[in-house]
Amino acid sequence: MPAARPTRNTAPAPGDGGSRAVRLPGPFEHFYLQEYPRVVKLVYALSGSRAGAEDIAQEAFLRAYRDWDRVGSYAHQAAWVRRVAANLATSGLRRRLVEARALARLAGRRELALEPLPAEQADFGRALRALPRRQAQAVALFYVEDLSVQQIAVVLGCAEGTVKAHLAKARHTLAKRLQLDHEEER
Amino acid sequence: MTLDARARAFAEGLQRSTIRVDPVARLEELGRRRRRRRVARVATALATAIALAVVAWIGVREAERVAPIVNPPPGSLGRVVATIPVGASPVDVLVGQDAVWVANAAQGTVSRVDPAANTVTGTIQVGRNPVRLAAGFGSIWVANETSQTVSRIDARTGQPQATIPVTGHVAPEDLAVGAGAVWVRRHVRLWRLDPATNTMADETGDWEVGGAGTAVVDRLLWLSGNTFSGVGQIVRVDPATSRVVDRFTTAGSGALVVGGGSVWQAGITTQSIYRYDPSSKRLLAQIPVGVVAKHLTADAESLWVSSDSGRVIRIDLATNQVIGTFQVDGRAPAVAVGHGSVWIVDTAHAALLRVRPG
Repeated sequence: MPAARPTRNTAPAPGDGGSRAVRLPGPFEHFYLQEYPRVVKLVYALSGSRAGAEDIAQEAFLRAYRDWDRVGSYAHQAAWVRRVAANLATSGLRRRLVEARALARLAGRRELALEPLPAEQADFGRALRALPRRQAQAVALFYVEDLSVQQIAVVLGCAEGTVKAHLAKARHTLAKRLQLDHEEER
Repeated sequence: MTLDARARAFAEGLQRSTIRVDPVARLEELGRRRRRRRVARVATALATAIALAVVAWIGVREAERVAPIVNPPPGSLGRVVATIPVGASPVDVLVGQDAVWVANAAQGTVSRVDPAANTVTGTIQVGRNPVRLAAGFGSIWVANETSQTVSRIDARTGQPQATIPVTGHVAPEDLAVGAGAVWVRRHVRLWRLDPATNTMADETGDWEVGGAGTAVVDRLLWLSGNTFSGVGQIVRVDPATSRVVDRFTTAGSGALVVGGGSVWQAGITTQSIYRYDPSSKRLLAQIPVGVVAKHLTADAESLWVSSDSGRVIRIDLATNQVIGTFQVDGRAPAVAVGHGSVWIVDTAHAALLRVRPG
């Protein structure tokens, strides 16, 4: 465990300009610790960016933190942050902006926490990212996050039938591109 | 190779590649970025125009005031007789014979609470992000999600006994004890942890049910969750062979517990609790609770439901009626019963609440 870590349970007061103690609200902290690694993984799958994945995930959590009064009351907070992260990761312009900031900050300062993927898996990642945006998100949530169709529908804010259609089209395309057997899941 | 196999290999590769992602280390950075962003916003506003800044500030203030969490008034679950400070971000609680145990996710510790004195008598360092506790074989078992390990603590002395890595670099999220083993679960994956040797074997079968509800009933493993096609199911697995004994479609897909001769399952999207007969597998009751149940526990008379919305609910096993509620300020991710009290994890105050049922 790191020596210094924010543990307070109250949100910083507006204008709290102290430079040392970083105060985060307890429920948000708990939510963040639980979800952050999974969201990074999802973003890495969708963006393919080792440098930017953590920053894109951070951006999503920053938005959750900013609006925690509202987001914290949602029944599906985890779905909310995944939706934001998935949209950031698949939005070319916004992703590049975050990546550029991440690269500038990282330059010569910090080792990347994410390891590169082996070639075969990287190929799959490229094929995934070549899919239409919503299909790519559905596939990543299904395979990488292990979410059910029902849960994906909550994350993407669409009907379960739409998710099933996205998955079916995406699987067909992926199988064709990667020259794989296409077996329908149960 | 099939597409699904390739996709799962990709998911495994991502899991390995992100193993060094450290949420705790980035937590401070998040706070700093939040503050930097605030400062930048203020500076920009000043540079633009005072009047515009005032308008923007009023807008932001109005937006920040949105917090209408409307909760029905709490009922008569009981009164708080002790508030016991534990570690940061407590997420699970377990009542043992001599102690009450609390997993503190942000600190990577487990607090040992003496129920006679209502004080913490020990803090045991475990892995990063401990999320679930279970008791059995004279030990307390702790699922450490970020460390991808299971810690074993002596239930009598509170001393750490072992740290057991989960094979395949998978983060554990649920535990169950029974049928001669500790069962470690992550979505569709399942491991058998042998308490005699502290070794773990992958017992993942073809049940294809992902979720976090796991229980041992009559020497069978009950796994609750969703199938890949999104259907809620409970699958019963023979722990000796890891083979599916049978499966049945359910209305829920969340947490699972046994109590009052029934099996109880949480419905996530329906915000209900479902009661099943373990023999006939028939649905006996649906009880709307108005929250997404995070954790279920049962004693001889009641089922207790905790939730991330901070509401704890008591359901009478005899009548299937909600007979008491309790509201904490933050989340109440776990509840346990024992030593004549209900023990509620209160994340907002990093505390364990001891409530005497009314």
